[in-house]
Parts: sequence; C-alpha cells; structure tokens
Amino acid sequence: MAKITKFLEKLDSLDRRIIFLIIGLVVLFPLLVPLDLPIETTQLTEDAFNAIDQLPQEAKVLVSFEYGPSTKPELHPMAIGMLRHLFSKGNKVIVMCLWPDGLFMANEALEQVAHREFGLQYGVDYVNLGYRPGNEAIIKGITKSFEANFSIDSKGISITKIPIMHDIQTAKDVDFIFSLSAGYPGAIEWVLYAGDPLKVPVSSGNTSIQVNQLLPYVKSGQMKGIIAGMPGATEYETMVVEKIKNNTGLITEHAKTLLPVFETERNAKKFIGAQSIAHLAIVIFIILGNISFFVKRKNQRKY
Amino acid sequence: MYIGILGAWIAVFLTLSILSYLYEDNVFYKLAEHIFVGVSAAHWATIAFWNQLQPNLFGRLWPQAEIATLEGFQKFWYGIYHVLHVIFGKIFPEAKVDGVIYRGIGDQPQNLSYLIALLLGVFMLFRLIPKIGWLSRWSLAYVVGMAAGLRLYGYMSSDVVGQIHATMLPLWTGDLASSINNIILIVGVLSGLFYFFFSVEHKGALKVVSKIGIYYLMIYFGASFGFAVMGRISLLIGRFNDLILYSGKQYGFATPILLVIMIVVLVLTTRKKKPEEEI
Amino acid sequence: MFWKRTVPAIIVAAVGVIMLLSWFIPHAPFGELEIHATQWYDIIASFAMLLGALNLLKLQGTKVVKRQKGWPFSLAAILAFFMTLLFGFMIKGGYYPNLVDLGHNEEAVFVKIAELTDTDGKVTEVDIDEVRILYTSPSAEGEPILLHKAVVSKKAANKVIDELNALGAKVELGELKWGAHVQGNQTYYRWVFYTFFTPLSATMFALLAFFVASASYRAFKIRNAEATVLLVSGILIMLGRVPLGAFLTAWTQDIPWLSWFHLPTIQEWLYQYPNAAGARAIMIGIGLGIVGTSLRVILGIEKSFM
Repeated sequence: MAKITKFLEKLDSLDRRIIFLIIGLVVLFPLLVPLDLPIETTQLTEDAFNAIDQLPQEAKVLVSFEYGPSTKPELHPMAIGMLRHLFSKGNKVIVMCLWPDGLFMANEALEQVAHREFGLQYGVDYVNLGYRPGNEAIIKGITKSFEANFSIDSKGISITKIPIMHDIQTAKDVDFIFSLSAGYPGAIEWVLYAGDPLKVPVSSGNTSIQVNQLLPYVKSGQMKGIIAGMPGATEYETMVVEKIKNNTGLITEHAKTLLPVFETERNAKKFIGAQSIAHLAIVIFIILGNISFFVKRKNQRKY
Repeated sequence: MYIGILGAWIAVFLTLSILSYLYEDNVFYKLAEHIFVGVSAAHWATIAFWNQLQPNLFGRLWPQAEIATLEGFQKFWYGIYHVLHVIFGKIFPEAKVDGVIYRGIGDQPQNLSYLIALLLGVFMLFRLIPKIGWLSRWSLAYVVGMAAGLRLYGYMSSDVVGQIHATMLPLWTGDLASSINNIILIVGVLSGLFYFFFSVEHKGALKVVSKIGIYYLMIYFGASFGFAVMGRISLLIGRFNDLILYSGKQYGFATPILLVIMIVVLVLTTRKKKPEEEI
Repeated sequence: MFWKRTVPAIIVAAVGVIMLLSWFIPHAPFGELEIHATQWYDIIASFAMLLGALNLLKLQGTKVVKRQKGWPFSLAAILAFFMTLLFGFMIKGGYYPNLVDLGHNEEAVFVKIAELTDTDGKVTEVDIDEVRILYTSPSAEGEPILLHKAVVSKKAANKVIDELNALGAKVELGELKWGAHVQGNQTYYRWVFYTFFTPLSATMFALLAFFVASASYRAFKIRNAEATVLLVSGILIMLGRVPLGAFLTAWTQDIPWLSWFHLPTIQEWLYQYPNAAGARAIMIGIGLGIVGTSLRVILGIEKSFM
C-alpha cells in the first residue's frame, strides 16, 4: 500500500516526454490497425445535412473554403462529404476562399470530387472563384456585387464568361451558403454580413475549437445546423452513404454508381478510431493526475 | 497532391524536425521554424499579389485595350504600362492576337480612383522607413474605420439583438422536458450576463445569481476545453497519417530512415552536452 | 500634428460613417461607394501582407548582416523566402500536353497516356479503360493530360508531346497563366506549398496535441466546486462526442430507465442547454464590447491604433 502511495505521489512529477510518447503511440496504433466503431449521428449534423438535402435540384450553393493544411484533417473530409452530397443531388456549386490556403484545399477537393468522381464541367456545374484578401469586407462586397470582388476566377477567366455565374450578381442570388471554417474570417462573418442581413440560409463545417462559439447561432436559427470537427465529418460521411444506399430524396443516376467509392474512401471514419482512443487516454491522464494530486495533498496534510 | 520522392523526403524531414521539439529545443527544430517563417511570409505576399493586386488593382488601372485605339491621355497612360511590361513582363502582360497588340489586364471598366488605393497601399509600406512611417497611419485609419463601421452594425444585429431575441422562450411549452430546458437556457443566459455586471456589488441574492452564472460559464469552458482537445488531436492524426504514407517503398522509406537518423543525432547531441555540463 | 493625428482621425470617422450608413441606405451614392470602399480595403490588406514580407526581410537580414546570435537560421529563413518568391514570380512550371486529336492510332495513344499518368507503377487494363473513357473525343479546346509528376517543366511537356505526336496524335503545348500558377497543377509554387508550407504549418499546430495532453495531466486538478464542474463537463464532451462513448455505454440503451445515461445523450443535452446558455451569455457580452469599441473608434475617442 505504501509502495502504491509513493508511486502515485511520484506520478505528479512525471517527465512530460513520457506523456508525449504515450499520446504519440496512442494516436499511431489505431491508424495502423483501424478500429471499426459504430457511428451515431447527432442533432446538429443532421440539421446541417437536412438543410442541404432539402434544396431543390436547381439550387446554387456558395461554398467558402476557410481552412488550410493545419486544419485539413478535420475539415477536408467534411468538404469532400459535402461536395459529394451536393453533386449527387445535381446542385451547382460556387466556390470561393477567404483564406489563401483555402484556395489549395478547394482545388484538391474539387479535383477529387467534381472532376475525378463526378466528371463535371468546370464553369457550368461548378466554379472556383479563388481567394481574395480582405476578410469580412469581401463578404460585405459580394452582398453588393460578385463581379466587383471576383473579376476573374482562380484560372484567370473573366467572371462574365462563366456560365454558372450568369444569373448570380450578388450573394442574395445564391440559395445556400456553406462555410468550411477554421477561424477568422469564417462562419461567424458569413452569418453577420451575409446570412442575417440577406436572409440567405447559412450552415458550416468547423474545427472542434470553433464549434462552441457558433452554438448560439445554431440555437437561434441563424445557422442551419453545424458539422462539428472530425466526429461531425464522420457523421456526415455516414449520412451521405446511407442516403444513397437507401435511395432517399434527390439522387442522380451517376451518384448511385459512386456508392462503392463513397463507402471505401472515407478519411474521417478512418481517423475517428484514433481520435476516440486518444480522448480516452487524456481522460485517464486527468484521472491519474487528480488521484496523484489528492494522495500528495493528503500526505502533506498528515505532516 | 503528388510531390515526388524528393518532396516526400523534405516534407518528412520538416515534420520530424518540428516534432523533435517534444524531446528538447534543438538545431533541427530551429532550422524548420525559420524555414517556416520565410516560406509563410513569401507565400502570403505572393498569393495576395496574384489574387488581388494584379487583377483588381492593376486590372482596374489598366484594363485590356487595343493600343491602336488609344489616344491622348490613354495613350500616355498605357505608355506607362508598356514600361512596366518591359521591366515586369509576367505581371504586366501584353498580347498579340491576329497582329493586333493588346495591353492591360482583364476586362473590368477602368477606374482611376483606384490610384488612391494604390497610394494608401504604398503608404502602408512606408512603415518600414522611420522618417516617413507616419504616413502608414492614413492607411491604418482607413482599415480601422472600415472594420469599425462594418462590425458595429453586424455584431449589434446578429450577436446582441439576434441572441436576445432567441432567448425570449416560453417558460411553459406544454411539455415538461422542453419547458425545463427553456428555463435552464433563460436562467443560464441571465445569470451568466449578470456575472459580468460589475457596476453593482455581488452580495446577498445577487451573489447567488452570480454564483449560478459562474457554474454555467464553467460548463461552457469545460465543453470548450473538450472541443479544444478534440481539435488538437485531429491535427496530430493528420500528420501521423502523412508520415505513414511517406514510409512506403514508393517514397524510398523516407519516414523510418529519417526518424532513425534524427533520433541518433539527438541522442548523441544530448550525450555530448551532458559531459560538458558536468564539467 | 494635423497630418499625423487629425487627418487619420478624419479618415476613420468618414470611412466608419460611410460603412455604417451603407447598411441602411443601399441607394446611390452609398451602394456604389460601398463596393469600391471594400475593394480599397482589400487592396490595402494585400499591401499589409507585402509589408509583413518586407518586415521579415528587414529583421532577419539585420541579424545576418550583424552576425547576431542564431544568424545561420536567419539566413535559412531568407533563403526559404526567396525560394518561394522565385517560384511565385520567376519560374512557373505548370506546362501540360493538351490532347487535341487522337489520330488514327488511338489504342497506342491510350496505352501511352496510361503509362504517363499511372500513379502506382503498374499499368493494367483497368487503367487503360479509364484513360479511354476520359480522353475519347477530346473537346475543341483540347484535353489536358495530367502527368504523374510533381512539377511539369516546358522541357518535360515537350518531350511527352513529341512522343504522342510520333504515335499520330495531335498534341499541343498548354500552360497555366501567370496568376493561376500559384494554385494550378504541377507548378513549382504548388510543389513548394505542399512540400514546405503544408508539413510545417500542420505540424506546428499538431504539436499542441501533445501540450494539451501534458497540460491536462498537470494542471487539471479538482481544487474546488467550479473546477469540478469544468472537469466533468470537459470529460463528458470528450467521451460523448466520439463513437467510443456510444460504444462504452451502448448497454444502457437496453434498459429504459438507464437510457438517459447513454454518454452521447448526456453530452448532447449538456451541450445544447447549459453550455449553450453560457455560450450565449459570452456572445452577448462580447458583442456589446465590440459595438462599444467600434463607436469609440469612429468617434475618435480610441486612438491606440495610431
């Protein structure tokens, strides 16, 4: 008993490099040996999914990429899942970026989904308007004029020559705004400067850190659901697969043929096992740390 | 994005160099950190230039025009463009189509008032020169005024009025569970707001309200902490996934080889340091 | 003093008032003014990024020139800076063979394209079929062929063009325009972004995972009731939001009176109600603070930015 007490006291001054090593191993092993855990969907992700699912086929959706390589593991699977959802319904997608790195992320996502998976036509089915610096000023700007802010797209083509933009003059002309947001500028700015003033529905996929800040907007109806971090991305991927499997709602014929691809190429599902084990490890660390703290405090009080 | 074998080795080296900080601050980490600083600064400047300055500033000062049709002031103005083309051909392109020479960028209508924007932008750069650095205050004033004007209405409308409106919930909805939830929400918002109200001393009944507010805020901070952990772990998963990808044969076993080399070097450096410290 | 303090104050007030009024008055001149005002803001913001780059050069350059402590690392920063600028403004890559016509020997062309675009070192019938579907009847503008290379230089593209033209196809040289090259395929700039910037940026943030674990262990102690509430809330969210939480408490779903103790259920309630109340209180508080500060700035009371 005395040995255990002494050990628990020593734990309090554990070299932090041991903690780093344990965390590293705990994250690495589930990536090498994937866990297959059941996915339960949450209300917030379902709300975001349903808001997009209810859009008619001719709807045009503005998707804004506001993340970079540092937050790619959380947001890129969401981007892929959401683009698959939109294109499988036959919706048109207008992409823009408020982060410079978002441009690269957008191209990657569109290359994979729009070009390789769906074989869609650039300029007709989707367009990437590119990045503009200016943060919320860009959002405010497009509420008055897309052309003034995005005179050319990311390929250098004049916006006036892009078919999908012919009947879109301002942000009010889009049917839905979706923000893939890792910080500032991001979902908050879309709600403040476009969603609320123009009454255009807004939803977003966010890093876990930002999710709690956005919850009041979701609760008040200013945002239609939210895809929260990697667990949210996993849920969304699952819902897209289930939708096509169960043949519910609007689905194009080509999307039905892509079901095997959607089922196998799911990054979020691959990662969520590692996320789960890492969370458990941290909870165990917190419990151990507190046990050690209490034992130490008790012994100090004795003397 | 395929980056080739050389790219994979560089990416793995840089990733492991940053991760080596977990052992101790070392030369690999410092090198990677400085490379990051250099690449980031140039990256942001390059992207801002090609995505905004070239098409939207220079494109409005010099939209594409057929030089044969230019007269008077426009001829002089596009003459300046030609000089810029000679010096910086890639930024100020000229095109020849069926024997017709075009000068300019894009097809936006010309707007020479953007010379003021150019001037304010250049004033911003004067911050680097102490004697005339005060001119950057004009540019900053523009930016600050713009942000203030945008945010005042935006935050008042969405964050204050919008949220207060959403808190006006019925105390009794006909269903016990949702009624309790509504009461929890309303009490939480009011007590949480009251906690930050310092014009009145928090004593007696007010102290109880403030205390309730603290507990609500603690729940919020605890949830935020949980989400923060979630976010950070996700980032680590992404890096490990890339390291696993680059450990394969097609990338020349970059990860295991570089990992072993780095561990050996760090251990040897630590050993070398210890005897020196003992002396 | 007039030029250094009064003129900036006038600019702040004027721009702030115009932006504020433009929320309420969409008609001329405010509508038009707002469009151009936001564009000017974007342009000045771009110059701010150039300023950041030049400032970096100034700081790191000073260290190198004066041989201050750590100057070799500063030299590395400067070299990395100029390497990125070189690929951003001087050397582009981004050339591609543009297939205009297949010619008479279609199958041989498909096989060759499959070899050039193959990603796993083995060309199979499936790969050739995919190429056949993708490149049958190229459009009038041509179909760009995405080679399996990190960067495609003019020389590399011309080599491929000669090989395909020799098989009877008509292939022309295509290239990405300057401007589009910063994010286009197979340019040197994009290679720098994915080789240098991406791993560095992502790993810097990933380091935080380790520190958050270490901080949780060392600092997260139950010293009082408030800390306990914070801790319990954090743990419920961490376990309840991942599938593991659902897996560990799946058994509670079979017992009606225990079903509320299903971790995702508790987590969802905590998140949507008590947590949302706290979040809303903080949001209203911050919103009021921002409104107050913005007013102070426009009225010239707040001058700290000068």
